[in-house]
Amino acid sequence: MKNNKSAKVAGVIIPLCLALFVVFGAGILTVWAAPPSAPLPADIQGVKDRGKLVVAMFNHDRPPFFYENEQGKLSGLDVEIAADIARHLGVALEFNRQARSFDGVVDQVVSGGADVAISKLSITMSRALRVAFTDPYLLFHHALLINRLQLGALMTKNPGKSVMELLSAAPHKIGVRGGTAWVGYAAQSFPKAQVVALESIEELVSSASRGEVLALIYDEYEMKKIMNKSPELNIDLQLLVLPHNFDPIGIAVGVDNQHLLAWLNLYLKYGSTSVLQENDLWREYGAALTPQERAEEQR
Amino acid sequence: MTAATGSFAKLGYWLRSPWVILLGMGGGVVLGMSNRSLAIQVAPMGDLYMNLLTMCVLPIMGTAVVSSLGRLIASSESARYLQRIGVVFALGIILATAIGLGVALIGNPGAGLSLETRGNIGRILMEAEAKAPSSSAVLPVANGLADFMQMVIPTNIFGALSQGKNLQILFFSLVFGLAIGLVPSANRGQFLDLTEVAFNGFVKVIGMAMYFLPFGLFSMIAGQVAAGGVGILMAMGRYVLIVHVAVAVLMIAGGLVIAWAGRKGFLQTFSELREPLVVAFGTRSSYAALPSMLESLRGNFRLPADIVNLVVPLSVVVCRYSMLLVFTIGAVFVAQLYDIPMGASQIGIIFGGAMVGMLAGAGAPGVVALAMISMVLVPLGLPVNAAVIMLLAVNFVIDPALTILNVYLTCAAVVVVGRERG
Repeated sequence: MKNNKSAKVAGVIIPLCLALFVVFGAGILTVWAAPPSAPLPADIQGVKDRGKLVVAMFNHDRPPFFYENEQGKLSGLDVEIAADIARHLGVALEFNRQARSFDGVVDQVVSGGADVAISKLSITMSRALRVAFTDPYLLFHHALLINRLQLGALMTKNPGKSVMELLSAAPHKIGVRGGTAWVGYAAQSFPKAQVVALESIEELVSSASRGEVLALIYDEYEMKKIMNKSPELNIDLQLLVLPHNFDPIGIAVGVDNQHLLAWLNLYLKYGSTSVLQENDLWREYGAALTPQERAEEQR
Repeated sequence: MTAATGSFAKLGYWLRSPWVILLGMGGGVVLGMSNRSLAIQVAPMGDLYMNLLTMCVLPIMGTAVVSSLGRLIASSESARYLQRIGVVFALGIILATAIGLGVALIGNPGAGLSLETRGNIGRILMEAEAKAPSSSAVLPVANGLADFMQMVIPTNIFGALSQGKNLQILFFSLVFGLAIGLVPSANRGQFLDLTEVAFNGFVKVIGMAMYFLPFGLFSMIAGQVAAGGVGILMAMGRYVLIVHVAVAVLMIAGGLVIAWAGRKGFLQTFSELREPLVVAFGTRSSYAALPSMLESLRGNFRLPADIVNLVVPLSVVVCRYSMLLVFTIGAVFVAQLYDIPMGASQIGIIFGGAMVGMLAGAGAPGVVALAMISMVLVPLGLPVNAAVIMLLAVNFVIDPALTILNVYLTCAAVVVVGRERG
């Protein structure tokens, strides 16, 4: 009699368990083997389908943002950011360094030769007409290097005026690095000035030392780097950092890639902190700001 | 009682002996170099000592000038002495400027500097400008005679006294002393005596303070040595050397003048004036040495008290030989640094500008007086801001020697003015 009862129970329970097992197993297999429920937005999906992120970058080195180190490996803050983004997207990374000017870097993104541009790229109004920019991930103050003898002569003739007033008042020659956003910045800050574009930093500095131009304008980081490397330049040239003028650095994206743009903004805001901290050579000379630091400064 | 005063007197004598004073100064140097934190803690006592000396200097200067000029004007000899003062001062200023300029042109403080030296100078400029960005530099240049007169004539003498505006106090004392001397009054003698009593009172205070000179110097020098950076010598070493050479040349010239006019041996002049020289060296202030100068000149050189009491304050305030050297040698340094050729007109500008700059900065404190170098640099087209930064940075190294020079040449002027004819 008791045997009958346990046999009956076993007869129910075992099939029940088997059925449950089959159902769960089928369910797991279904979920496991099934394709994803919906495709990602087209711009990001395109990158993933291709299996690589193509990043446009200026073709000369700009340490410590992007440069070939002693072993010949491409390194620097922008390189690390690019690698981190590729890792998040789960794709390989490829750099397109064909562009011979910074505007050329933007052209690569416009023409589709690259998905994004990460290249110490200044966000300017004219560039933003053609591509979409993320919010800045770094900001530099504008800095001037002014020929002391010429500045002294100006100050004597116009007593009581500030340096900016003196530089803005007449058609002085202002030197800038050709092919960079600084050509535009110089024209903006000194509308009357004659902007002289030269190719290399060395040419610019010697031209200012000789008095061929009154002043140079460039970012505070590069200027402080030059002055610390060759302090004797301070005798001929005075460094003046402009506290209210900024050069914002951002990532450029094609105008149609709106979700990629939104995602990159989130990445820069929340995902990039460790990359910025680990690659902090840009902190040297205290000459670059994160957006949070700029907000603090302005308070 | 007698035994106590006897031993006090011995202690006093011992404290004022040159060896003890030198011991105090040397001890300060040793402490400053060996134990910086302790030296910095001890330094405020040196500041207190300076305050004590400075406290007495203004009253001494005022009462000295009023009483001496008053008596001098009242006497029949005023014209002769006043003429002498003018001539001696003018000659002294011209001589100091010429020697400073000459030594600078021979020594070339700023020419052919190595890249490393130029780099060090550049670093000084960079650090100073990073701390205080000079986006608009407004320099205190006296524009014309009206401005200059405003600096000299006080609107409120008590205001001038409370702010320590030495030039204005001097001017007021001269005017007042002159007035007292000219007003025929029966009680004039009493007022002048009163002023002289006040003067002697303050001198007594200083006399007591002089017993503490070794300790005061010890604290001050310890603090200065601990704080000072030797790196500046890497940048401006040649300039410092040339300044000291010019000081040495002028000291020799001054010593010969004192020896001739005071009828003493050359080396004797230094030993007789050791107290003011030592105070000048340790305190870097010719004002702090003023009371010692008065005492040494009256006591050791047998000069008429009224002459000493008048000429010393006048010279200390108006004839700053140190500024003449800085303006000439400093201007040549800056000109050579910027590759400006030294032609006859440039030399003339430096010569004239240095003298005008010194007079324009009379009585003004250190940095303001230094900024008067603009009188020389602006006509030469040289940048004043950078020059002031460089010269200010090295000032603390050359200050002791320059203060000694001011004191010594002042004494020379006094001895020449006061010497008896024949």
